[in-house]
Amino acid sequence: MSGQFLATLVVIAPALLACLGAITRRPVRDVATLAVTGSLISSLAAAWLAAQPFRGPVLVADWLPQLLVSVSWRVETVTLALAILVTVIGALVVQFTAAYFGESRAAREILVLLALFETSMLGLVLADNLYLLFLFWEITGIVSFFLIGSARGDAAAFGAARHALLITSAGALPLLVAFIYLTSRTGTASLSTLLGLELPVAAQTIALALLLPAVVTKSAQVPLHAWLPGAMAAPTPVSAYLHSATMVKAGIILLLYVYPLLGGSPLWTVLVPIGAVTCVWGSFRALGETDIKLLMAWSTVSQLGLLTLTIGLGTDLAMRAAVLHLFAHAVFKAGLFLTVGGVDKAAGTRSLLELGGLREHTPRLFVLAAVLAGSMAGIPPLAGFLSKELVLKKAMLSEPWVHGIAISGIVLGSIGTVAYSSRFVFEVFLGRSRGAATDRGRRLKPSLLLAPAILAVLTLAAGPGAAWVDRWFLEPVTASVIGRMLPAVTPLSLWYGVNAALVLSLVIVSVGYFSDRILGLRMVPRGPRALSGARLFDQALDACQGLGARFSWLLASLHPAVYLGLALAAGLVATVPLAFDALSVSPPPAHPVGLTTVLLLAAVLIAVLRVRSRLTRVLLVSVAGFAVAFLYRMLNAPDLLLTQLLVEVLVTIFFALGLRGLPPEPTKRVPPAWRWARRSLAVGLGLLAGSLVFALDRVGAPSQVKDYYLAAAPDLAKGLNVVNVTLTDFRALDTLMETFVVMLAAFGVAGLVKGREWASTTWSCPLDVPGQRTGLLPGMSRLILPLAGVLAVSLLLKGHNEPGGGFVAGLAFGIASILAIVVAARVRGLGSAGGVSLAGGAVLLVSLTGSLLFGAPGLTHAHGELQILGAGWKWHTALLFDLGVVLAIAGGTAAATRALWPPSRAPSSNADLGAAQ
Amino acid sequence: MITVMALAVALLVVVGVELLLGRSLFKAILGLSLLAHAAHLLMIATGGVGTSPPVLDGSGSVVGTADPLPQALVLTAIVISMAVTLYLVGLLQASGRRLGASAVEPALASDPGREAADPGESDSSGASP
Repeated sequence: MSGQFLATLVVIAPALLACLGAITRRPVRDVATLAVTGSLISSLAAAWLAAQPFRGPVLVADWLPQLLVSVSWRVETVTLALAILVTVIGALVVQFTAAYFGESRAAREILVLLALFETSMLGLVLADNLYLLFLFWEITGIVSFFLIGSARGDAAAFGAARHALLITSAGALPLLVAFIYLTSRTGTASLSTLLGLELPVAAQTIALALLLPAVVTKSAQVPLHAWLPGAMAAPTPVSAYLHSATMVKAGIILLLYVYPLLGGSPLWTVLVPIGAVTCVWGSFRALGETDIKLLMAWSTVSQLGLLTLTIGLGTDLAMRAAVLHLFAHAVFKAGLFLTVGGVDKAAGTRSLLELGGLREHTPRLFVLAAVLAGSMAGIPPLAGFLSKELVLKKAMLSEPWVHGIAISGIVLGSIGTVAYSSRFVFEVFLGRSRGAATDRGRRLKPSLLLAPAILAVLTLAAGPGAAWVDRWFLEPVTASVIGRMLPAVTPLSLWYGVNAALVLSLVIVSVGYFSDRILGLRMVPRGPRALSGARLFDQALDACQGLGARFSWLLASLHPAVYLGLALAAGLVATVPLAFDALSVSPPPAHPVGLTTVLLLAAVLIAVLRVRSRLTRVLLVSVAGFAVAFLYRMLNAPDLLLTQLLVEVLVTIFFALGLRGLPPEPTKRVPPAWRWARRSLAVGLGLLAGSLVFALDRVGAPSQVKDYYLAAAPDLAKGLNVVNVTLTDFRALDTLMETFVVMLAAFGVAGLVKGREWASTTWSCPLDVPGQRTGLLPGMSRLILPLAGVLAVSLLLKGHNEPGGGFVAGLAFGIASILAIVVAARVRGLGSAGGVSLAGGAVLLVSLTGSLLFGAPGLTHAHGELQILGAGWKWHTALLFDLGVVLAIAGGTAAATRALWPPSRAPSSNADLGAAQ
Repeated sequence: MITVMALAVALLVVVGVELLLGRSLFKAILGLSLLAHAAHLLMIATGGVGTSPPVLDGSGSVVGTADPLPQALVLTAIVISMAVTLYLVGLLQASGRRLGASAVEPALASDPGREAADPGESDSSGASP
């Protein structure tokens, strides 16, 4: 079988099988069996790969080759050994979990999550591509969030899960930067290739500095360790997995992986003090806990510190010690957490204050706990002793200043470790029972003892089998970590003769043991509450959220005027030079008629600000619109004049309909400061816009488009009104889109107002007195429509050569139909308006696609001359296009009017109203 | 003529911004319409004034003809700003009917900076360009 397939199988087998079990809704027992099978398949595949001679990266698939992202695995002795560790402990934890929870919904979820977590951890361990590694790094964080917070409705568990997620993800961000840095620096994202390179020391230091936050957060080093004890909110089997072999080891594993690449940086040594402080602080806090699960959590912090410290020593032999201790710790800590789960099951409590004498009820669990705790304390001949000896020996060989920190960290931390290990064994299992809970201690199911027993056997066998462990495990794995064969070293053994390390070990064990025995539970140092990491984190989180709320008030205010004003002010500042430039030249004298118009405009606008009535304001604004229309006339834009006039009429009608029944204007007084800011902003922007006109005039470059349009309109498009030709021909696609915008707006209004509940039905059309119709207006309305039709058709027909065209005709027809219906108060007449508008849109689309049928680009128009009765009739398909515009605009405006219309005024509902009364 | 345009644009922008930045949705709509007028005039200004409309007489002479392109663009812009106004009036009607609110800000807004407002006079008092 190929390496690609096997390596991929190692990663995905656990999740695949567990999900299969969950999807097919098998009982928990079957899901567990499948998950265990998946883990064992992974183990076997990894072992098979390890037995093969092949070592190196295997590429499964390119993912984003441009960014050097690929799915590739690193088949190395160390990655395979870690994969076996992860899967073996995974299988044991899954087995224990199923026994621990029994048949329940929670168990099913946790089993699947555990399997997913196992796969993400395997991916992290085996990934060769840096970005793939980062991806799995993040997935472990996300899955652990769900695992830690898996207790439903438990606010504390959710808080702890969030804490863990935020801290570890925050640490992961610089990790991504570190990977990007390494990739851009070396041109490869493959870890295998990178490890063969020599980086300058400065580059090593930069990469390491970016990488350290990830290590410190994920592997819970002081001062970012507080999430780990909090994560004890997870069910005990989950903690057994997360905090022994997997999640918290990720940082340590990363350090081991990059050691050959970055180990030359002087910054590497900073790991020693970090680890030493963590080691001592974790031990100290473990002694202060009465909950044995929290005790184990703090012990994990301490042991992670020990590992970091050892790696920080930065020699090949230190890596050897770290590798051994990493595996030893994973085995005994997983076993201890499972034992804690067993104690919880047997006694119903985890409190040291209540436990005691459990040996009589569960003697086998006692033996397992004693072996595993002995390994943690470093008692010979257990695995923990072997690894701690190695660590001590390496620490003594280090440089002087490192030496002091390292030795004191290890010794102090280890004394604490011995003390809390012995406390765990003695207070829980020996002595007499202190609480009622222990008395009803139950015998444990054998299935709960299986996993801890296997782990205890492993830790027990390591001591006598030291030579075997060295030859088949430690030596090849270390060689694979450091990238070359180890020089000849003393083989791993229980007995090196009497030396300093052994003496220190003896001192540690005896001091630790006796201090705990003599002082007992009275020696319960509590950390100062103010320094509690979880509290500090919560406070920091609250502060962040407060800050965010401040910012969002400023930048995302519920009042649009705040940020609108800010944006306008920014634009004002940015263009001030333009205004100065424009005003430096004295303006030409104003046209007298134009000046009069502007004075009228000024008067109207001042009145707009002064008057109170809404309707008066609307009318004044439309007068301003008429003034602008007059300016268009002076600017030689007759089409705009026509359009503007008609638009003002329509808008006024809309306002008249839309303003009915509104609540009064807000009367809250605006603070003077805000009012002055607004006023000065308005005046500033006004000056700016005015000077912009001068500036634009001054540019005065001849427009080539203009010349082309003027020349091409009569020749190519056979039209003399160039504005209309531009709309229907040159830029017909624009026109098409803009017509659609109008249709959208009209239908939008219909949607907005549809389903309304009219509070009042008292509105009445001033022209229409109920029950007393005047004969004149309805009669006129019968004339208006045909007349308007004629007008619209003539505007449409002559639009190509004279002022007019589709928009103008459409507006005129829309106004006419609305007016006719206002007068007749017959809203039903507008029922088909939406359909007319849609028909117009359809015509536009036809003219878009029609020319495609003739092989011409869309919206190409044809024209020609038809000989009828001896006279030439010019025709052009642009007229068809304009007809579409007419229908769309007229129909759309009428449909919108209908939507705003009060239903009670329709004659048909008058009858209903009468019946109701 | 350019001076007239500049004056008109300046006036329209001053009053438009003043209305737009108020707290009434209705006034904001009016302000937008006025700003649209100003924008249209500005766009026309990019093409220059010219001495005759871009409606040709067939003689082939195009000297002094106003630029048709900005006019065509402004023509559609006028229609679109009408459509926008139409939509905003619909919004105004809907929000007034359903929420009973005429202010731009929702009733639940808690802007710490604007607590010191005393009810009484409308903010429209005394504002002049």
